[in-house]
Amino acid sequence: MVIHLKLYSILRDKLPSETKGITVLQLEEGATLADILHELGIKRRVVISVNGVHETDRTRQLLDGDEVKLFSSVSGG
Amino acid sequence: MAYGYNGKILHVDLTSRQFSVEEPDTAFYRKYMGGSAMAMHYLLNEMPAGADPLGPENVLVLALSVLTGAAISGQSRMTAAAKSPLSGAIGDSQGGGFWPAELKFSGFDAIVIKGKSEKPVYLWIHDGEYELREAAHLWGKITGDAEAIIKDELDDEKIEVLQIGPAGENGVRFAGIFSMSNRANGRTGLGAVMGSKNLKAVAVRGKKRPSIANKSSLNQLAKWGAANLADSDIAGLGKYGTAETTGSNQSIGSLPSYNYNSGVFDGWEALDGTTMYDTILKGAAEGKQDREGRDTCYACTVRCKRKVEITDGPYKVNPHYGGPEYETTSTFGNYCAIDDLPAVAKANEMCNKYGMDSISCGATIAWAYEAFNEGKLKLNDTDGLDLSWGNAESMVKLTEKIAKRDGFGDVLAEGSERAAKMIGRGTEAFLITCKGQEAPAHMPQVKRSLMIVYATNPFGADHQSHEHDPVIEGDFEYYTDRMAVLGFTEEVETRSLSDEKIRFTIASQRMYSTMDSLNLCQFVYGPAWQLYGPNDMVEAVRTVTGWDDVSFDELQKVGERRINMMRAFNAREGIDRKLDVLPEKLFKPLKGGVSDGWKIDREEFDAALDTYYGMCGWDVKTGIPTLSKLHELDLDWVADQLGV
Repeated sequence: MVIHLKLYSILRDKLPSETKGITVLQLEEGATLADILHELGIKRRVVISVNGVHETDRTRQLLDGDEVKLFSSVSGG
Repeated sequence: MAYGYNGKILHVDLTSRQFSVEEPDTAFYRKYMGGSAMAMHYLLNEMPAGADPLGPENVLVLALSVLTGAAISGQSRMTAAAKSPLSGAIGDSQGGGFWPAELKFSGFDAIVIKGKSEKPVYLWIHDGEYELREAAHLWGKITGDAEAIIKDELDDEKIEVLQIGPAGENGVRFAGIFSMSNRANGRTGLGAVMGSKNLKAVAVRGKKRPSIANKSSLNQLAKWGAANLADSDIAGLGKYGTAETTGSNQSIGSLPSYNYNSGVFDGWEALDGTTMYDTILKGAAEGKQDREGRDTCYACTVRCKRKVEITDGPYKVNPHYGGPEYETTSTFGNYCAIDDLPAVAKANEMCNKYGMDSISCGATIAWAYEAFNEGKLKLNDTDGLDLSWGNAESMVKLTEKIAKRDGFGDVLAEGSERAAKMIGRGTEAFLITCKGQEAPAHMPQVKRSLMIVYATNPFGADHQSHEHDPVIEGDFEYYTDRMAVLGFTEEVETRSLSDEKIRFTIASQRMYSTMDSLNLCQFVYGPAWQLYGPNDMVEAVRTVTGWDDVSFDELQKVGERRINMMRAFNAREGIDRKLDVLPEKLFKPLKGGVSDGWKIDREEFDAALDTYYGMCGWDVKTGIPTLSKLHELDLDWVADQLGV
C-alpha cells in the first residue's frame, strides 16, 4: 500500500534535503506507525498526525492512501 | 575566593545621580544564586509597598547569576525585575544574548536602579567603572540606531547595549528591554519602567572573565553538550527555531487561534519554523541559512535565534532585528488568523525596533480583532483599519501605532485589559489575560497543568514557569532517568488534573524558578527534553562555584524561595488568591480540530487550586505563604514584612 509521508523540522533531515521532508512509502498491508518510525530510525518522541488527526497509538495499522505527518515535540517558547 | 561571581552589586540612584557598590558575602550568593531570586531580595527590601510602577519609587533590578559568563551553553541570560506597570504585581522577565556575559566581564553581578533622572541618560559600565551620560540625542531613536550611536561615541564596536525603544519611552505598558536590538526581556512591561526613569540604555564592556573553580570539569560538561546536541530533542529548535513547534501544537489542538477561541488554524503551515527556514531566513535563497540566518548567545552552541531578511514585497525586514519566535508567529499569526509569514516577521521587527513584548502586543491586537469581528469595535474606533480576521496589513499598521501611541494604538498601548475597560461594550469577554498579562501560545484547555500556573503565577500568564504536561503523560518513557531526579517514576493519565499532576507542576515549577535564578536558558537546561538535565544543572553550579556539596534539593529550595518571595511581594500589594483567576473565555468550549469542545471545568479548577496551595505550604484561603513555609525557606525577614 501507499502512504504519503511528510516530516517537519529536524525529522525531515532523515530524508534527502531535496525532498523537503516529503515522500511516498510503499508498505505491506497491516503496517503500523511504529513500522514507519522504525524504518526512519526515529527513536525520539514525536507528534503524529494521520489524515490531519492527532494519533498517539503507534500500533495503529495504516490504510492505503493515508497521509502521515511527523513533528518533533517540544514545549517551545 | 569567590568563583563564578564578582561579589559586587552596583546601586544607582538616578534622582541624586549617586552610585554605591555593595559587596555581599558568599552566603548571600549561595542563598539566592542570582537572577530572579536575587532581584526579589532587592525589590522586597528597597521598594515600598504601593509604589507607582511608573514612578521614581519603583526599583528596577538587572541581575546575573553565579553562572553567567562561564564558557558553557545556555548561561548568558539576565533577569530584569520591578513592579509591573501592566499588572501592578511583580514584574519579571529573562533575556539572553551577549549583554549578560559582558556585564559580568565588566565587574558586576547586578545593577539596582532607583529614582528618576531629570533628563534622559544612559549608564556606561566598563572594567569596574561606571558613569551616567546624557542621552537626549538618543531619546526617540529606534533600537538599532541608538545602539550604533552609543558604540560610535564610546568608540568600541564590542560594547553591548541594553536599552529601551520608543515604546518604553512612550510608556507602552508592555514595552520590553532589549539588547542586540533583538533579544528581549519582553514580558511584564519593564521597558516602560526604564522609560519612566528616563534611562535609555545600559552599555557594558569588560575584560575580566569570571574565575571558574574547576575549569576542566566545566570544559568536559560543555564538550558533552556540544557532542550530544545533534542527537538531542533540541536539535530541531536550533536549526528550525522555536516556531518548529507550530505543527505539533496544531496537531494536539493547542495552537491558539482566533484569539484563543480555537486550538487549530488552517493556515498554520505558513507560520511553521520549517517554512521560515526555507523561505525568509537570511541566506535561504542560496541555501546558506544555517550560516547566515541563525544566531546565538554568548558561548552557546545551540544557535536557535533567527535572522530574517526580506528585501522584496510589502514587508521588507532587516536581519539586524532578528526573527520571530514561536510565540510571535502565534500572537501575530494564528491568534489573529493571519497566515502571512512576511507580515508576521515585519511585526516582529517593529517590536524589536520600537521595543515591545511581541506576546502582549500581538495578543492585544488579537483581542481588538475579536472585538471588531463581533461588532463591538467599528471603523471609527480603529482609525479606519479593517480588523477582520486574517487582515495582515492592519495588524502591521496597528503594531506601529501602538509603539507610537498613535490614535487607536494609544488605547491598545495600555494592554488589552485596560483597553477593554476603556472601550466597554462587553469586550471584557474577549480577554485572555491573567493578572493583566496576555496569555502565551500554549493552551490550558489542552495542557491542563497550565491552568494552575497561568492563574497562580505571580507575574501573570507564563509558559516558561514550569514543564508542560506531555513529559509526565505520553512522553514519560523517554525521560525516566531525569524525571526520577524530580521524584517521578510513573506517568499520569493524559489530560488528568490529579494530585500527582499537581505535584509534578510544583516540582517542575521550582526547577524552572531555580533556572530563572541561575539565569539558565530553558531550552538548554530542564527536567526532561532539554540538552542538559537536572543533574547537569547541579554539576554546572558545582564546577563553576566550587560549592561541591550543592545538591538538587538545595537548588530546588532556591527556586521555591523565589516563588515565595514573589507571592509575598504581591501580598504586600494586596494581591492574593482573589486574583489567581483565569479569563472567562477558558471556561467555554473550544471550536474545531482535535480540541473541539474542550474547556476548563470551574469546580475542577477551584479544587486543583486548593490542592496546589496546600502542597505549596500556603494559606489555602488567601494563597499567601505561611509563617512556617517562610521560616523553612530562611525568609523570616519576609514574614516580618507580611506580618504573618
